[in-house]
Amino acid sequence: MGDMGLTDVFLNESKEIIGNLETDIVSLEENKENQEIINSIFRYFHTLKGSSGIAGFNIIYEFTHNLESLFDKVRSGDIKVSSDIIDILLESIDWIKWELFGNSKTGDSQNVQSDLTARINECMGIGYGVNEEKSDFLSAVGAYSGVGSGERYFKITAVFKEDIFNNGIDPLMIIEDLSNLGEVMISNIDQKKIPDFYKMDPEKCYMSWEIILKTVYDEMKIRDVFIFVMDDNKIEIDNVTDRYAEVKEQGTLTEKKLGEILIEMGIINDSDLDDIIKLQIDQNCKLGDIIVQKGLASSKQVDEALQEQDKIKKRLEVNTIRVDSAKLDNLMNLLGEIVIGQAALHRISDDMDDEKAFQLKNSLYSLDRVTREFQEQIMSIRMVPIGPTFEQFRRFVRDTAHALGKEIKLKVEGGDTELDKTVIEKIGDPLKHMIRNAIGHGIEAASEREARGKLPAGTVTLKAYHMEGNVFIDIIDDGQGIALAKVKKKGVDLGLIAEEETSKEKILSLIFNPGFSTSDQVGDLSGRGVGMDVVKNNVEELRGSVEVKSKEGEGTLIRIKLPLTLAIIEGMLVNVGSAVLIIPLLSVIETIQVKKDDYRTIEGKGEVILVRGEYISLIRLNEVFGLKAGITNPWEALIVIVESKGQRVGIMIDDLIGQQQIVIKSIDNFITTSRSISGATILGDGRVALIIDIHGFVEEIKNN
Amino acid sequence: MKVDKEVSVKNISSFYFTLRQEVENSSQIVLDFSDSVRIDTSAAQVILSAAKKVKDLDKSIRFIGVSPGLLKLLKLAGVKLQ
Repeated sequence: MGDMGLTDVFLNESKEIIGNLETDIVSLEENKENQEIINSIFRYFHTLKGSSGIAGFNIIYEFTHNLESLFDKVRSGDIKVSSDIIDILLESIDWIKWELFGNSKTGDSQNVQSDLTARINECMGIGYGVNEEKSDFLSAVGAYSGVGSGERYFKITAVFKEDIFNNGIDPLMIIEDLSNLGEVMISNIDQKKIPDFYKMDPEKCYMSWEIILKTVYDEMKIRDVFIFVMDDNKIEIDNVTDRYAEVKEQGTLTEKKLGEILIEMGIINDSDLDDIIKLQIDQNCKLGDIIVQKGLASSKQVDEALQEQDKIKKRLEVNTIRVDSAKLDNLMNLLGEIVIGQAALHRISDDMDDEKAFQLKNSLYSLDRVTREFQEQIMSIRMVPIGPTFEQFRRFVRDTAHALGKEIKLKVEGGDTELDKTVIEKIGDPLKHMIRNAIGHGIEAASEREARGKLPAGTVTLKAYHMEGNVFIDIIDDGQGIALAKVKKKGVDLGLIAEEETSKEKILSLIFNPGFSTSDQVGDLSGRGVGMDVVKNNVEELRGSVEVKSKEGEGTLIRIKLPLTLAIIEGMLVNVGSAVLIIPLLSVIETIQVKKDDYRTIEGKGEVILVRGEYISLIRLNEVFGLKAGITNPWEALIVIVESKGQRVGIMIDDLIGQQQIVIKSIDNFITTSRSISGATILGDGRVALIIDIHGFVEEIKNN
Repeated sequence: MKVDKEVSVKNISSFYFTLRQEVENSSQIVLDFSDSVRIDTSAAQVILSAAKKVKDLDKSIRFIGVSPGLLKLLKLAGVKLQ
């Protein structure tokens, strides 16, 4: 992959913005008056507009300009959010996606755009004629052409003479005109000159402004606003684009202080801040407390500013640099080679004389530490929060629920939980399938829910969390649950389970069998019996597992367990005959030696060993993998106790070599299709060792 | 106190003196902008100064019935509507 150009950067950024917009718009549908969401949508349209202009996507620029205007009216309370507006917004997003990524399946782009523009204008109360005139006007002044270089920031200082009212001029009207040319980013109003209320002459002007304006217009246009006051008053216009564009558009400069944010929010001004800082030095109190004490802002406003400060911090932390993910993969592979090289050096040191071996091992010890830290750093770069993946389903849930005439809310928890980016990329489809199932089969129609004493709106919850070195993702619905009897009957009919089977877990796990469906009807959404087995396979390919819990009438939980990373594991190296195998350390409970008396053979169960009063199956690795046996008596061998899905088995090995970090190399299916092997690694001496997939291993043993 | 439809330098004196009476006589001043559509700089600075005085006197000032258009003007003038 090559370096990303401006267009690629824009398209990548747009994808994120569009995803966020979809989430916010669907949330807005549920909270139509939530000002925070409204502001967020406005900002996203605004950013999309600016970026599209910079990248030269003028059609998108014009279109998002309209959407931004619409949302400006929503923001100011002129227009109320309605279902129509939500529909327009979502269709607009679809059109933008179509234009940028060619995702849409039908329709003619230009017609769709015209139709949407007309509907947006209708919402804003603008007739076609007026709109055309406006567009022509904006085009004429060059608002749409060369927007990239045209979006500018101006610092305007306007100090008016005391007698300006005598000339019939209202400075506030001038400032209002100025604000109509763009967005007032910062506005400081100097109130120091306003006299005491009892001593003031209301017919004299005391006010002055210092404004940072973001606009697509040039300096001449700004000057035009002040044309009648320029000569007699102190009007300064500075182009500060270089200083502000980077801060505002990229968010790549420094963190902001609370006072700066409050000034930007228009809550305090520079002189207030100076006074507060002096007080802070004297009193040694928190700035926010002083501001509230002095009545310059409410606690709520200070809290909002603190939240904004936090957001900026996070943005700076998260969005510092955009790196092509292929480069990270390459970096990880290279690190893998370093780990293998180190293992080779360790091996060589074993054959050296004591003194030299000691020196080499000492050096390798330091190198190991650095490599481990290096690995942790790369891993942390590869880790991304699952939140955006969860959020992208809001639109899907909304549309699917609408299509089925159901009322369903999506609840997201633990969006900050981080997972390896490869896992995140691959988990989307299985999640979508399970959500679709929950909507299609799980959650009942509103009337049915009400009859059962439930709320008419169903909820699908996506929850992610870390536990025991793994990441868990729960997909929970509060629907009708899985009909156990129906599943059992189907299982018995298909010969998958015996009539006598009573284990709820076993019966429920039947849904993961290929072609298994209890649905009477095959629909667009689900019911074909294709899916849950694919979900299971996909999850298992990620070295994870999936389980289901359900209670009829109350709901269903599907729990996915995933490893934190796919690239490197801690592994236990074991000898079986002449081969070296690797057992992932996460699955290892303990390594023991058994007494001869604790070894038995039980009919129907095979070989077992007694471990602390419990019989567990004993597996001979040489038999499973067709290797030449080393030690044949279990009481002479070592037994590694491993666990999968709560089930323990003992794996018989000849010897334990040690434990080390293992770089997993995938092996193709033509080498083995066995689910007992998850990959291979290269050892220090150049030999290849197979890595046992304990989960698949236990499953295969059970099935055979 | 009900604010006129339009407050500008033409009627600022009347607005100022009415507001001054309110500040002197009431512990809580309420400016009702329900009928008001526009204010100018002179009105804005009178409100700003009154707000400061009210705070110094340990009294309070509230704004009600502010239309979106007027809200924009008040914000541009630095009037805090808290």
